[in-house]
Amino acid sequence: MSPRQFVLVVFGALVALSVVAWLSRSNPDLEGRVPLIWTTDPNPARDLQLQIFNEMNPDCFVTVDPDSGDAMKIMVQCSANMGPDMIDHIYYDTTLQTYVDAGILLDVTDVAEELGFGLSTLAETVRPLVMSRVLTEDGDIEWRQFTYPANVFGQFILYNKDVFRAIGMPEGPPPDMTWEEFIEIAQSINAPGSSPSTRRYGAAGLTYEKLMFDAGAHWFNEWGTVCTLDSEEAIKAFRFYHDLIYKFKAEPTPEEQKSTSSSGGWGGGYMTWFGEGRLGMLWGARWMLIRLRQIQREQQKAREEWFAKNPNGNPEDAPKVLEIGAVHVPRPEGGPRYTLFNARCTGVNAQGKHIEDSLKFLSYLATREYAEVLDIEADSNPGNQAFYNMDFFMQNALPGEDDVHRLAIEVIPFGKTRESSPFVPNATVNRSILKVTDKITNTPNLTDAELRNLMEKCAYEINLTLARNINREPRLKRFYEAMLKEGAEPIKYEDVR
Amino acid sequence: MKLKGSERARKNLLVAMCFLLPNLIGFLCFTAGPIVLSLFMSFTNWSLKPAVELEFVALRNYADLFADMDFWFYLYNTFYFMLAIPITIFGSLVLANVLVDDMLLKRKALRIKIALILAVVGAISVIGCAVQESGADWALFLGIIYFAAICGVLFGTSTYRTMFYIPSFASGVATIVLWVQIYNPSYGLANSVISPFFDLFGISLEHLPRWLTSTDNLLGFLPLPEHFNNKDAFGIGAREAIMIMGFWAGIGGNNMIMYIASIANIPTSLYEAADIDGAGKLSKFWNITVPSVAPTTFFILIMAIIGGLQGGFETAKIMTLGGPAGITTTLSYYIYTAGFEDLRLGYAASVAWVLFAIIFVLTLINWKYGNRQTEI
Repeated sequence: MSPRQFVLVVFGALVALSVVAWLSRSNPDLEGRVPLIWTTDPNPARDLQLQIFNEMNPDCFVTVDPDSGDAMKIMVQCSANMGPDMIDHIYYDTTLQTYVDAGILLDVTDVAEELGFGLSTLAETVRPLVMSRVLTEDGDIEWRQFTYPANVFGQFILYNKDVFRAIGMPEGPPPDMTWEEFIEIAQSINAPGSSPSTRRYGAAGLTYEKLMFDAGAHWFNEWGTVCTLDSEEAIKAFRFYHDLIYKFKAEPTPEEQKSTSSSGGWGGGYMTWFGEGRLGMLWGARWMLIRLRQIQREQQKAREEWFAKNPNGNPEDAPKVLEIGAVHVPRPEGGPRYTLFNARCTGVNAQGKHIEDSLKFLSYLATREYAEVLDIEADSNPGNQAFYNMDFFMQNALPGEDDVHRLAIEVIPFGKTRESSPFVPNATVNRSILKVTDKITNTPNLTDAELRNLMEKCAYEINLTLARNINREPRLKRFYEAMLKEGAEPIKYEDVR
Repeated sequence: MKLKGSERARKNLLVAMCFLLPNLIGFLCFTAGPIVLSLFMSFTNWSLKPAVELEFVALRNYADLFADMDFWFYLYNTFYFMLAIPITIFGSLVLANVLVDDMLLKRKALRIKIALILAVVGAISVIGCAVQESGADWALFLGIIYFAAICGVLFGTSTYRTMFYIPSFASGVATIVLWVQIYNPSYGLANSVISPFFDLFGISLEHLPRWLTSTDNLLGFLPLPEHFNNKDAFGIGAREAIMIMGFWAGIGGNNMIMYIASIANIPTSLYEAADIDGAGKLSKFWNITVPSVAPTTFFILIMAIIGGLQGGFETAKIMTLGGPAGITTTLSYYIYTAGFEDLRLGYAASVAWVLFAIIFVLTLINWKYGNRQTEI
C-alpha cells in the first residue's frame, strides 16, 4: 500500500467512524417540546423527578447535566452564554451569593408568589436559604429571592438503639440534651479497639458551624462589611470544637475520620460505622435513611441466612439489624437550640433561552407531586412547608422510623445558616477558614494563644480581601456606600486598595 | 510533464503547508493565542463575573502578588517539593546503571528451578504472614516482592524495566487515589509496614506519621514567617508523603529510559581500561558513568526543574485540596484557585506569568552554568 493510499484509508475510516458516532448519539425526539437542562447531582431519584415533571408539562422536556455541578464550570459556561437553564446551588457551599454577584441567577421575587413558589410557601427559617441581598437600580438594598429548595434539611442526632442498650441506656439519649449530657454519653460509648477502624465511637459527623451558632458567633456582621471570625464568641466556638475532638473525645480525630474514607465518601463512612454498631450517635438527617435502609436490608438478609443455617441457634447470636432512634442536637445549658441547615436549591439562569419554561420547573419543586417523590426515597424535606406534617412524612415510612421523620419536621424552627458577605467570594472565605480548621483539627496541643492568633489571621485575610474588593470594584463600592447610608458598620481597612 | 525547479519548489511548499496548516492553526488558536491573551489579562481586572466591567489596571496585579503572603507561601511550597528532584534523578541513574545489562541466566532449566524455589519459599512466607494478626499488609508486600523476583529470574532485566516504568503510563489520577489509601494513618499500607519497626525500637505507635493530615515537614525547624505554618512542625507530613509518591513515579520513568540509552552508549573501552587499572564498581560508576551521562543529566535536570515549578496541581486537587493548612498548595494550584474559585482571572494570569519568569530565569542560569560541566 502506498503512503497516499494509506492516508486515504485512514481518512475514510475516520469519516466512517464520525458518521457512526453521529447516528448513534443520544437525541430524544422532542416533538416540538422545549428542551431544558438542569445541572444537579446524578442522584438516581432524578429520573422519577424528571419523568413526573415531563408528564405534567407536555410542552417541556427536562434533562439532567450531572457533570457541570461545579460552580467554576457553571461560571465559565454562563460567561460564554452556554449555561444550563436551571442551576443548583448547595447552601453549605454558599455559592448562592457568588452566582448572584456574578449576575447568573434570575431574580424571581416578583413572579414567585404568582407561580406558587414564593416565600410564603417556605418556613421562616428556610427563607434565608433562597435569598440574597442586592443593590437595586434605585440604589436601595433589598433581600430578593433567587432560588427554591429542591430539598432542605436540618441536622439532628441519629442513634443506634443497640449501642445504647449495650451501655445500659435502652431509652436512648435525652430528648432535650445539653452539651454536657452529650459529651458524657459519647464518652460512655467510646470503646477501644486495636485500630481506629475497629474502635467504637460515641459520636461523629459534627461540623464547626453548629458550635458557632451555639456560641452566638458570626462569620460576618449583619451587613457583611466586617468578618467577625476573630470575635471572642468565634474563638470560643473553635476552642470547643478542638476540645470535643481532643479533650472530650466526642468526635473522631482527622486520622480516625480518614479511616472512614474508603467506605463511601462524605457521610457514607460514618453511616457504615453507624450501621455496624461502631458509632453510637451520628449527626444526621432524614436523607441518611436512603443509605441506612440499604444497610438494614443487607443485615436482614444476613440474619435470615444465619437462621437458615442455624435453625436452632440462639437469636442473640444472630447478626443484628440496625434500629434507629433520633433526638434533637445538643444545646448549651440554659441556652437556645440551633441546628445547621443545608439545602440544595435551584435557580434559573438569567441568560437562559427558556426562562418562562424554567420557572415552571421551580413551580414544580413546590408541588405535592415533587414532595411525594422525595418522600418515597426518604430524602430530605421538600421546600414547601405545606407538606411538613407526620401524615405526609409517614406515607412511605418503614417500621421503626417514626422518630427520624418526626425530627425532620421538628428541627425546622431551629435551623440556622452561616452568613456570607456580598463583598468577598465564599470560595475565598472557605479557603481561609479551611486553613484554620485544618490547623485546629490537626494540632492536639493547640494553645489558646495559638488559636486566637489563627482566628485573627483568618479574619484579617478576609477583611483585607473584602476592603480591596470594595475599593476596586465600582459596583461593590456603590453597594457599600448604599449600606453605609443605611447605617452599616464601615469596613476595617478603608485605605487598602 | 516536467516541472521547473522553482515551480517544483513552490508546489512542494504548498504541499508542506497543507500538511502543516492544521497543526499551525491549532497552535495559533489554542497555544500562542491564549498565551498572548493571558499576558494581556494580567494587566486587567478580568473576572469571571459578567457583572464586573473590564478595566486596565497596569501593574496592579503584579504589585498585589508581591505583597500577597499566600503567593510567597505557595512559592515556598513549590520549591520545597522540588527538593526531591536531585534524589529522584540520582535514583534514576542508579536504577538505570543496574538495569542497563540484561541479567537473564542463560540456562533455561536453571531459571525455572530458581523460580520454583522462590515460589515455594514465597508462598510459605506469605501464608506465614497472612495468618498472623494484622499480617495481611506484610503478606501483600512480600507477595509482590517474591512475584517480582520470580518474574525477574524468568524474564530478565526487561521485567524490572517494565515494572519501574508502569507509573509513567498508569493514569495519574488512579495512582494518586491509590496513594491516598496507602497513606491512610489507620489502615494504610505505609503505616502498616513501618509500625513493626516502631514496635521493635519501642516507639509508641502514637508517633506514626499522620501523612496527608499533618503539617509536619523536614524543614519544620526553620524560623519562617508565621504565614507559612512552619512553627514547631518538624517531622514527616503531607509534603513528604507527596514527595515520596513523586519519587516512586519519577525514579523509573522517562529519566530511567534516557539514562539506560545514555549508559548503553558509553564506550566499553573506558570500562575495560578501568578494569585494567583495578577500579572497582563504585569507582567506575563515579568516574566513568556519571561524567559520561552528564549531558543527559543536564537535560533531565532542566526538564525536572521546569516540571517541578509547574507541578503539584493534580496532587493538590485530588489528594489534599492544597491542605492541610495550605502546605501542599503549589503555584499551579494557586493559579487555579485564584482564577476559578476567586474568579480573578487577571490576577491568576499574573501569577502564571511570574511563574513563567521564574522558570525562564532558572533555565537560563542552568544553561549558563550547568552546561559547562557537561562539556567533557
